[in-house]
Amino acid sequence: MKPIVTLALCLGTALSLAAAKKPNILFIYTDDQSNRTVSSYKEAFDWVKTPNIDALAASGVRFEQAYIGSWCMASRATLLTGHYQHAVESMRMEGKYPGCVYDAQKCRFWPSVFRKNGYHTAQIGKWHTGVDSGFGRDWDYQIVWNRTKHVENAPNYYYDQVTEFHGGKPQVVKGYTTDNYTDWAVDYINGEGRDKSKPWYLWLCYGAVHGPFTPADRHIGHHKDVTVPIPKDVYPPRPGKPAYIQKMEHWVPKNGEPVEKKTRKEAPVGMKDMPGRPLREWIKQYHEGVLALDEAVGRLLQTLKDSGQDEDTLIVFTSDQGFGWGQHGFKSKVAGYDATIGCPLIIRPPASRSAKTAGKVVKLPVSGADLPPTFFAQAGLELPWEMHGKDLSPVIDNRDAQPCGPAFLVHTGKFYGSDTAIIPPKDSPDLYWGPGVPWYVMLAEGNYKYIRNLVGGEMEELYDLTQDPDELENLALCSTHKETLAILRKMAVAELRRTDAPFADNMPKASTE
Amino acid sequence: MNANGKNLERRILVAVWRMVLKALGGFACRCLFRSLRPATNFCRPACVLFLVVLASHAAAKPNVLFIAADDLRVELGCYGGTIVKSPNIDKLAARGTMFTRAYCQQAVCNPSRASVMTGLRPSTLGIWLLRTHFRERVPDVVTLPQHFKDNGYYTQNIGKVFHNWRQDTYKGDTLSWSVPAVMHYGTHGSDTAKVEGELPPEVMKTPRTECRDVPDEAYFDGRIANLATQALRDFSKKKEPFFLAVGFWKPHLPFNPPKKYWDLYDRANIRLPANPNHPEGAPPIALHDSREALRGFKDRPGGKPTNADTLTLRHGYYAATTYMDTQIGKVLDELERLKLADNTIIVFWSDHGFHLGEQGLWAKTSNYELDARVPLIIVAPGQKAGQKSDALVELLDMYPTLNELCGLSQPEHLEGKSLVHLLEQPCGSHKEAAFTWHPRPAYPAPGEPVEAMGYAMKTGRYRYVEWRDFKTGEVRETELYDHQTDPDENRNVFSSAKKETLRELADQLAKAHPRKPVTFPKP
Repeated sequence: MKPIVTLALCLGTALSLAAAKKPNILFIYTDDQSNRTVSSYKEAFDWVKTPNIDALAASGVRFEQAYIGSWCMASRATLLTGHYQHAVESMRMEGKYPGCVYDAQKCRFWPSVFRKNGYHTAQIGKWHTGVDSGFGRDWDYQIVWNRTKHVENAPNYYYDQVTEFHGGKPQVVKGYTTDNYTDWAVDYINGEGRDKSKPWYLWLCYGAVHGPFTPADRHIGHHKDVTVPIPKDVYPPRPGKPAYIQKMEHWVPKNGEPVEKKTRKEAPVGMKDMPGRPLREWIKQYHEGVLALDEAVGRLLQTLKDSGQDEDTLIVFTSDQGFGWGQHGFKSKVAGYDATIGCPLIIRPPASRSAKTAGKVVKLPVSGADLPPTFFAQAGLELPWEMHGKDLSPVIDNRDAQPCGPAFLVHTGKFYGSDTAIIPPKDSPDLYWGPGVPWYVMLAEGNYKYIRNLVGGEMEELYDLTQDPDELENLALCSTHKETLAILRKMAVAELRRTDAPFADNMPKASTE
Repeated sequence: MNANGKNLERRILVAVWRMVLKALGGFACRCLFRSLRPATNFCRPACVLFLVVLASHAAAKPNVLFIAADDLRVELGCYGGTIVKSPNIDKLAARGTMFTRAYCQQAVCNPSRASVMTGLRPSTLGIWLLRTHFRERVPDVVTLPQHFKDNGYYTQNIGKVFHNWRQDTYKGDTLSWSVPAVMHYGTHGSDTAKVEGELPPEVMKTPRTECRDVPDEAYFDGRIANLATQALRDFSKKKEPFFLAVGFWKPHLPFNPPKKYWDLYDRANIRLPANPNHPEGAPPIALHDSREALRGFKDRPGGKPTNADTLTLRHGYYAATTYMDTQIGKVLDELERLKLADNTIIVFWSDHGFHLGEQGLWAKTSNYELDARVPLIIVAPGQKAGQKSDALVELLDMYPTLNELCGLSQPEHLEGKSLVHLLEQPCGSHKEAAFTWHPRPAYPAPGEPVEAMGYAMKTGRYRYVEWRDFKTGEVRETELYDHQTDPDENRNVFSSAKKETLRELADQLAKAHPRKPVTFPKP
């Protein structure tokens, strides 16, 4: 019988894939980490060195243009539901920032489906999507810094976090959080607290490198002697950009270099202004904060190898979004530019089948919403509900496959789901909630990026990222690009309708339409 | 799984039995099988293995179905394409061995096909133009089908197999076929929709494309599929083995598949190229004016397709690929229905690849990966199914491969190397490098001198190109692309590469193609 079985298995890869063991999934998810901080990205400064993340990229597939989210909470909500922000039903910000709640009947998180289908699920680290962090429902195992529940502790990104272990009583934990989370993840991978017969899914949510951008003690001063290039449009005016960008003045010249300006009375958590501090110093500090993350990746990979699980574990490394330092005047994330939201995305298939795509670089853009359907496909599970992204499995499993359809991102401030039905009027603070960036729809296709700011009478934006990677020349204002603009506008509306955006058909008219 | 396994087992047994019967015929084999029959389940595997071995060694004269596509790049479902729909080719790949790194010898029709069919490199043939027939250079060369014909095969050609135009003295190659070829000679421009009665309107309104609600047979490939299935039915009644070459004309321009194939694609999923610019640091000589595709867009800004045109052209290419794939399905289904599949070797290949705006280029005639790399699938009875080989192989390896599979002698002139060992061990290695060349200008007009010849070498990691003076062989420009970090060839890293790497690559290329003036055999 044996030779026959062998022959049968050889008949198609489909057969052998179906029979394969379900992979573990290690999802490393950092915070505010721009792709400028990872040396395998072309955006990185030449002194940036992240050997461990680069090694992961060299053994897997690296996405050059990934649009995971626009800000912390919305990005996480998308990764938990598979829906864009405008379709995450019942999620609401309430009480003191960053407090928020949701109705678990209306807003389901997919890890519960993994749990029901034989996976052991775990979450470690930062939580920012509702007081109910889902222990016992979505997670078998959880060591959580629930900022939405312990709002007073929410600024403590790096030390003294109020932490709950597996639904237990909150306790303050000492030590540098990046290292703590890594220790806990290593323990989990090594088998602590889990049923070893089950495949596992671990969502490891680092708080680094979010404000206040505190590096580990051992890394402070690591970059003190490097030369930091200053972005071209750190000061206004910024011709061809929408009105809100003209007012973006976080940096003013002093002794020939940009220093921080006092712009906010009340800054968001961890984002306190330090008037007079040079931009260069901020950037060095920000990059020093990434070094512990790179070390963490090295430790996690080694743990997988040492425990014999590397062959069966899919690894994803990304961030909730990037962060802008001086580009277009920003000291923030949210805005739909590569400088402010662009972040690394690396997917390494289980080592047993990663060789065939090792080192692949994907130039076509992809979205954060593509990750949950990819996880389901990799686990061989049916999608439990319609998700907005597309399965990237062909792209990570096949050397030649490219992603299908455009990448998409919608920013609707602090509103979610049907609460986005009415776009706030032009002068409403709700429209600009957060760092002053209005609601927008962003679509990336081929070498183009299209941004439609949802402000009546405002211009649309169009950038050719191969010619103008800094996004300085708005082609939406060029008559030669009228047709391209019309195509991308149409695509964006089609994506909004496809994903049930309640405002798809009553967006304010743009001046460039 | 268990029941399926049993069914499968029975099917394989029957198939093997049929092959063995055909191979050895008659009494001797029947005795052999009878002696094996009382075997228990326990030793049945041994019988099967024995029979498989026996069959692969003794199966005299399997048929050959040789299927060519025109301008089909490596973008198919089985090769990981997420947008294109190619269910029939995918099914074929699942039945045999798919080569993921197969390369043509020149990315334009005539030289590539002349090389495949003669088993000689274009540099040996002295062919780099569309209008030179290989018999002008090597009159007595024995072609692949001719060799089969000389060995008792009935060889037939339906559709475009040899190059097909501006060679009026030859119009194909009569020496190669047992019967005159059909639908093999003409221009692609003459493949316009032909229907009885009124022609349905054209709805795409984009140059170089056509979209009409007409049946498959309105165009060449639909009719070619019908003729090929008819030929198979005729063969099934004959005793002698056949070599049937079916050459489809698509997805070559114009992109004019019937409307139903356009309708299979959601326009929202068609993507603009991610790298629409010429590679950084590429010498101008490496590029070309993309005239084959762009000649229809002179009225557009800059004489180039707009982004809307680009999407339509890409849509049209995918639709044309699916149209061609459907015709292949008709031929393969008929082969199956006639129960010929078990004793027929199937080869599927394309003459070269194609650019759809990537690297700022359209159509072929470059030395880049997108043009040089081709799909290649071989299904051979007795070989394992669902295999993939990443070995570097060249299209001119097909000739010796088919000889070996059919037990024919290897003519001495052949420059390729049989791929049969890769069908047995797909993880094995085959060649250190694959070679492709192309002249500049890309399409020299009659009387126009050729200035330079680009010699490209694809190794495991790199694509290395020397653009040499046509008359002296002196190197004028060089390119190096590192596929490990830059698989899409967006950066020429020649100037920053390590000296030793460059020296090794230059030596390797010079060994295959010495730096000498381009010459050609004069009969």
